[in-house]
Amino acid sequence: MLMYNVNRTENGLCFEFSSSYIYVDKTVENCVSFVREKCLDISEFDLSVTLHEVLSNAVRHGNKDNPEKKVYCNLYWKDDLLRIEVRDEGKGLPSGDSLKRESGTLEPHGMGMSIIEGFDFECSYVSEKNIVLLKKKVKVHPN
Amino acid sequence: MSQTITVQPDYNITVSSSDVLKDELLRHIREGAEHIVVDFSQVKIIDSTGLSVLISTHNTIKDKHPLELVNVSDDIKRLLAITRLDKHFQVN
Repeated sequence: MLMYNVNRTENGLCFEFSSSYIYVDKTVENCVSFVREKCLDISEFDLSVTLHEVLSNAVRHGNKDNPEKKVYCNLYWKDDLLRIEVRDEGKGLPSGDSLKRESGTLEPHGMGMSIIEGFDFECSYVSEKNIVLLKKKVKVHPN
Repeated sequence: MSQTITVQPDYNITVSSSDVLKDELLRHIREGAEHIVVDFSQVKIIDSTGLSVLISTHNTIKDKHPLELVNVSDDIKRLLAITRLDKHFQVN
């Protein structure tokens, strides 16, 4: 059975959902609403595309589009740092594999991480926990 | 004579919707389109899956005419620059 849960914490949102792209869209919308509500000085476009990349990657490559497998996402903002953690129930990346791919070639694959880094997110992979961690310095919008 | 087709998606082109655009573009290619214009006036977001659809289309028709994107927002132009796809597509 498909499920979608979101919990609000003091500084962010925690999501748990079945592998479905509809839920990816819903999670992106919820996260954008959160940063808008907090008046954070971050491009909604950059955040939306970044979340689409990392969450879709978890559904497709991590969970192999298996709706019985879940995606877990935490987004929180504290001390001017926005953190996004995404975990799936897949096997994870082989040891030594890099998240980064080359951009600029006309190959229709492998652009996601280049896009995320192009938006100035610091991206890392915690292999023992199978977590993709994104960090970006974000202050409250001055206006 | 080159046949020009304009496609105007009225949705964001992400993994959940990119197949719709892919099917439409493939249909036009099968029907003989040699110059394809994608009008982005109603597209706010495109992700790497959507970009992949554009790349595949471009690679199919580029010998006749590069894929042309029009009414592209500044945000999407920035994304095309990050991925260096602006060097391949005709972006207006």
